[in-house]
Amino acid sequence: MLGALLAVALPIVVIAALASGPADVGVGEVASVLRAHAQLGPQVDRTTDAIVWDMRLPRVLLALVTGAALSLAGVAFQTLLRNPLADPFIIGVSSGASLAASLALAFGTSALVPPAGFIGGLVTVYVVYRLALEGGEVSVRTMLLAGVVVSSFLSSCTTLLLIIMGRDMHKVVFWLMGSLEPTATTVGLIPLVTLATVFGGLVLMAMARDLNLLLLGEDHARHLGCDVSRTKTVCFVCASLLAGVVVSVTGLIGFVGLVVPHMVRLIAGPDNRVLLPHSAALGGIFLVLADLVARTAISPEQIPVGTITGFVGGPFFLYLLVRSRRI
Amino acid sequence: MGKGIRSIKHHYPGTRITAHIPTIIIALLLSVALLTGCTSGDGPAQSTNEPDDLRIISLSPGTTEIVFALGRGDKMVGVTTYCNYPPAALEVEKVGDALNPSVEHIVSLRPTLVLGVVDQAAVAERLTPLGINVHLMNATSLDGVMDEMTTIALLTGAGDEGERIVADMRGRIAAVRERATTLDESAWPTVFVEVWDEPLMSAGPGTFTHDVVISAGGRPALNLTMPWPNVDTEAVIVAKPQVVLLTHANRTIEHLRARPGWNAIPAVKDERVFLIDPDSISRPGPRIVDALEEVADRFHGNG
Repeated sequence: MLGALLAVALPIVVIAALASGPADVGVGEVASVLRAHAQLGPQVDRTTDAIVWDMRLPRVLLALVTGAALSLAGVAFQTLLRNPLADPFIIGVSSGASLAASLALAFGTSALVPPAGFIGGLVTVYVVYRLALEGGEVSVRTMLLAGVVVSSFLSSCTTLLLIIMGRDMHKVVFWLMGSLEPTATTVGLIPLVTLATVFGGLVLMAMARDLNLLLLGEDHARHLGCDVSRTKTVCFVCASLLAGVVVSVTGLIGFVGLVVPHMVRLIAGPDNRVLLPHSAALGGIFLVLADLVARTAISPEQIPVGTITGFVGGPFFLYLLVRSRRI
Repeated sequence: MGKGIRSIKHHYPGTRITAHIPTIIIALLLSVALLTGCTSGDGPAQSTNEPDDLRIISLSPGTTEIVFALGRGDKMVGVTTYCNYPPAALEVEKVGDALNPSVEHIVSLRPTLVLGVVDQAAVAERLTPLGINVHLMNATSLDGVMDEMTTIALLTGAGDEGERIVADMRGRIAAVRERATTLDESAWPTVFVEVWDEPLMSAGPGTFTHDVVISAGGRPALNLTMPWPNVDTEAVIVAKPQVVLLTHANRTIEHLRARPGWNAIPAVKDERVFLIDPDSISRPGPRIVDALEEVADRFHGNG
């Protein structure tokens, strides 16, 4: 039932987001622009085209993909670490990406931020992964602890850098706050992010049965024929890739990756075969909606999208939590 | 003097922004980093020192420029690393940056007067109990800056010469306003001020950048409510501003032209995109008058 609901909601939310903004460009104009680009209709006015095709579409697409990627990474880390508080950034992707992005802004240009953030994030999780290896086997407990410690160490480094940089620090603060508004640098990266998300999502889906077994505990999973070591590694790589790709393009957008998987669990249960696709869809829808509110609520001014995800998502999640306890 | 300070307090109560905490963080950063004044603050402190044993420390670039403009730069014993103008300010001992001045360093220089902006209340709270006279300026408009200059002239014993300097600046501001009001309202261009590019930020009510635009005879193209809002690019395209003022040095008209949809903006089409020295237009100091005159010339020509 949730699946059908999401399948209906997704196109509606995307169209609503494309048709909303300060400019008087509604569903009709959006349709003409899309038709023109599909070579199915006549050319439209250049400004209208720019508003729909160059501004709203990339932003909506980025929100959709980011929401999906963060939710998938959230499911993966919650399963892998068997910890309900796990989110895509728990073992240090974001703090590594933040430090690398800050270094790029301090000593390079903003065009270097996405590659630097991506590399910084992945190097960090690789270090955490190596720290968590005990006799060729990953210990999730060590991974969690090492991740949190490495994370806070790197955050201190970023803070230190901000203090040394002094005047230029606001660039970094903007980046740390996260934004779905594509910049000249990031707009070209959206197809890449989409591809990485689809790839990561498909790999996780293919392992959904093994991930379910992992939830029973590693010994049980092993007895039931699951290659625990391989499953953990692949799951870890996918989740880190998803989180790393997204964080390097949008900066830090919190809450989605933590809460969306729990929302789906409360409604549809913990089976990863259901949980993964539904979380991806709900995460995408949720972030497109949150961004829609962020850019239209006090237009022409904008609210940081992270504020909306927490403000709207928090109470809704608590509602689901209380309701599920009553049943 | 008292009248001036009261009038500043009435200007912008700043309660609306409490709903947007991250925006406030940005606003605070911008306001301290660029050192533009903010909301409510202390009244002026009274000068109790003889001019001769005056030892001034300035914690913001704006107050540093004011003290030098008033001819009291020789009394300066400490400034921040942000204080880069006039060149003589670079020679003065540094007490840290404007965000994190060292209280210990300040005290060790035995100042009799410490000047700063209202965002630096935390530093002031530690200096006042030590018997150090602290004045934090709180200006959100051109008149507010002039009132603060009068106050600082008094505190630093700038005397008649100080009064003459401030009166001269008030005269220049009045001349620009006069010129703007004699023009027909239709001759006032619609203006978008770009304070930052990624994310796109502008200056709204409660900033003197906004006051400069209006005083120079420009109409804000967007109806803004926050002091330093992050604005939607689409809204700028729809608003079709006739002039764009860049108050940061990240971009030029070529960059603006390359942005999707910006070619349709009259300011870009007609090449009326102007870079205004960020330090002049965003600091509550004497150079704000230079910025005002430059902006007025950009709007209405050199006539």
